[in-house]
Amino acid sequence: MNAEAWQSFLEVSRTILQHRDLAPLFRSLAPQLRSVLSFDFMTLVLHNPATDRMHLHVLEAEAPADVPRVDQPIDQSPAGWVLIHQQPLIVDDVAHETRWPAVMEILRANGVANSCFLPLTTAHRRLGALGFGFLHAHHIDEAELEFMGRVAAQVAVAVDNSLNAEALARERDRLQALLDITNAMVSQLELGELFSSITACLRTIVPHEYSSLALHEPGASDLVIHALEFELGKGRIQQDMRVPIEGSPSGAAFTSGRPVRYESGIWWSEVARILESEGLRSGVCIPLVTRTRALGTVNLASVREDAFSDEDIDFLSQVAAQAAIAIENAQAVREIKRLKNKLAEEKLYLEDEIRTDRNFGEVIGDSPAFRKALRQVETVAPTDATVLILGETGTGKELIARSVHELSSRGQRTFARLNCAAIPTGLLESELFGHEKGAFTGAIAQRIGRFELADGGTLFLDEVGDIPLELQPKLLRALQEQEFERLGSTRTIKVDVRVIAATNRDLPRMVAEQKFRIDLYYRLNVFPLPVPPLRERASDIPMLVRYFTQKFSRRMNKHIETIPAATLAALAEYSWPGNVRELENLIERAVILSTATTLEIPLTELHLHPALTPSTTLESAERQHILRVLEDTAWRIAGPDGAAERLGMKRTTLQSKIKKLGIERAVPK
Amino acid sequence: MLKITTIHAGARVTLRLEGRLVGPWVDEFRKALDECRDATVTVDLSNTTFVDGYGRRVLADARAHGAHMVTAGPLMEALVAQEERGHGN
Repeated sequence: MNAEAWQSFLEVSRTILQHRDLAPLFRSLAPQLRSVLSFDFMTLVLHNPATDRMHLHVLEAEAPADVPRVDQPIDQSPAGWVLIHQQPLIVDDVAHETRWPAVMEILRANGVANSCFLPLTTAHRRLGALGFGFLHAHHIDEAELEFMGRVAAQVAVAVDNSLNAEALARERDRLQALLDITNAMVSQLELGELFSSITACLRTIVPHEYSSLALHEPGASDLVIHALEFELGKGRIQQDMRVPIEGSPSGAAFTSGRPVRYESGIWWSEVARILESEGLRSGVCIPLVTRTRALGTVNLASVREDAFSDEDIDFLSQVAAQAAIAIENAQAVREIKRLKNKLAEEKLYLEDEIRTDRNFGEVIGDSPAFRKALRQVETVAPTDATVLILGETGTGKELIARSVHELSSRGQRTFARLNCAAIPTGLLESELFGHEKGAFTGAIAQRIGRFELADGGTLFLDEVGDIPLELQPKLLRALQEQEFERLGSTRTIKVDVRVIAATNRDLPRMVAEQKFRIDLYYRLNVFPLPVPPLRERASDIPMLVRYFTQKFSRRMNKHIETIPAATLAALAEYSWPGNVRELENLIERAVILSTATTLEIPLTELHLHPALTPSTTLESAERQHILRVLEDTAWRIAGPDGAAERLGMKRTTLQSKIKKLGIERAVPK
Repeated sequence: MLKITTIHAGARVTLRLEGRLVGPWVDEFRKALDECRDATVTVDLSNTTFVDGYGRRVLADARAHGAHMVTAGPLMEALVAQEERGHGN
């Protein structure tokens, strides 16, 4: 090389040191090289190892050139030949060159007469080729070839550095994005906001138009879209939409645990058709997997074909690994919040229960009729079947319901009750199923309903006949499917609740009058459990009286030691339209009024049953009872098992009563 | 818990209150009243089970502005009657 060439070579070296980016480098190089070599075009053609194609990276020309930037397969490109053979290539006559027809056609179209390609190679890798084009026939001599070779060697180093710098910058950007995403995940525990933070960071590294988060619920055969960002969407893909696992790209990623890349037209399923109709042409689904389970998928899609490279998928997989942990945490926090709210509601409910006066857990009665009911309780309790308790008001239906619950496998779980007649009709749905904040005017906070409260346990619906007709279908669904939605929510909640219902109304008649749904009636009437009225279990009355006396006297700090037998007898004769509740109220009143140790019961307060004759008084009832006992004992008043002992009074007291009531022994004829 | 249902019939508005008119729900009731100040208002207390002191003051204020009260059951009837006596009605 002559001095001029060396001078130019030194300038080239200096220029290379001053430029990091390739296009400006070539713009500066071209005029310097033209002082030695009269070329019209200078090109940088690089090899893409992933596709094994040659790509025109830089074109420097004095005059405008029409060169399409189309990749060529390595074997159809002169630069590819140079890359493979690592030798300079001189094409003396472009017009008649038959090899590499596509490239030659482009050169001819731009008037190139001859061209020269030199390998760009460093110690570590083969990069591509440096090309020179001449519009006028130019014989390239040895000196020029040597010069171009030295320049190519320097340019190769510059290109290598530039490509490495680009790769490092990309890697730095990805790592920064990963750090930003991790920071976002750490600070966000709400699923929707977490996903928005993730996609905002992703968009800077992996451009896309659609992103969604699809999560799997255990036991389901589909994924549910929990978060969605798609500004260009036409509304066919929406949040809460269900995507079947079978036949969808996200389903395939979920089941395989590996990313799935797809192009339009490949997935012949409803999901694919929807994606295409929304203008999306390519996408990728990345599984979200923790140590314990697969949660779902993160899905990105683009309106461009083949928009996601292997490098993108590697990066997204790293993000997905972090996101899975964050999403699992967010789900855990949501579940904790839900359980915390439920616990708070249960606490309020149970505090309320404690304040309520009741005799639960103490079933009093030994009469044949009551024992029959208790046997039925023992039979049905362990079965988890729905029970319909039938009985008049005040017969202890709630007591029976609690007994069923306590004898069942749910005995240690919640027993929630609701008196359907005591709740205003408009609030009944909310009481049963809960509501979301804002569901109606007055819904100032989210509320958990009785079905959710009783999840895992038992729900007692008292006065079930009072449930309005319009609410009955929802109750039926909750009974049959064990699922419902809170007022104001579209999210289906599944529960495991055993229902025990009670009524004193004639449900079959209500069904006939179309005031009660027949399907709901059949669903409730799986095991009807009649509770006898008190008048059919009169032999239990003395036991109940003693129990209530003890209860109230303890509460009022009184000492009641004696309950007159005659009084007990009179009580046993009464019809008790209010049943046990009426008896309890009477005994409470009696304890209040009693001043000594004998219970003084205000029998005159009891209302006579209309079926009784006007002449029948309580004195008459007492007289009849004493007469019956005397006849049973063959008129033996004193001694063991005599009438006095049976009636619980002294012999002299009985004799006094016999005289007072005018009881006489019938003389046999 | 209180549910407020607003029923419009021309220039007449009925506010049906179901549940307990207490605490923060009284504020919700006031908002509902404010939204229909220009109408002839009827407050339906047929299914109202309890009213606290604050709720009574708001009801009294509504009556003073011409709202008509509909009641059912002894508690609400007594409450409204007491308010009416208090105002010399």
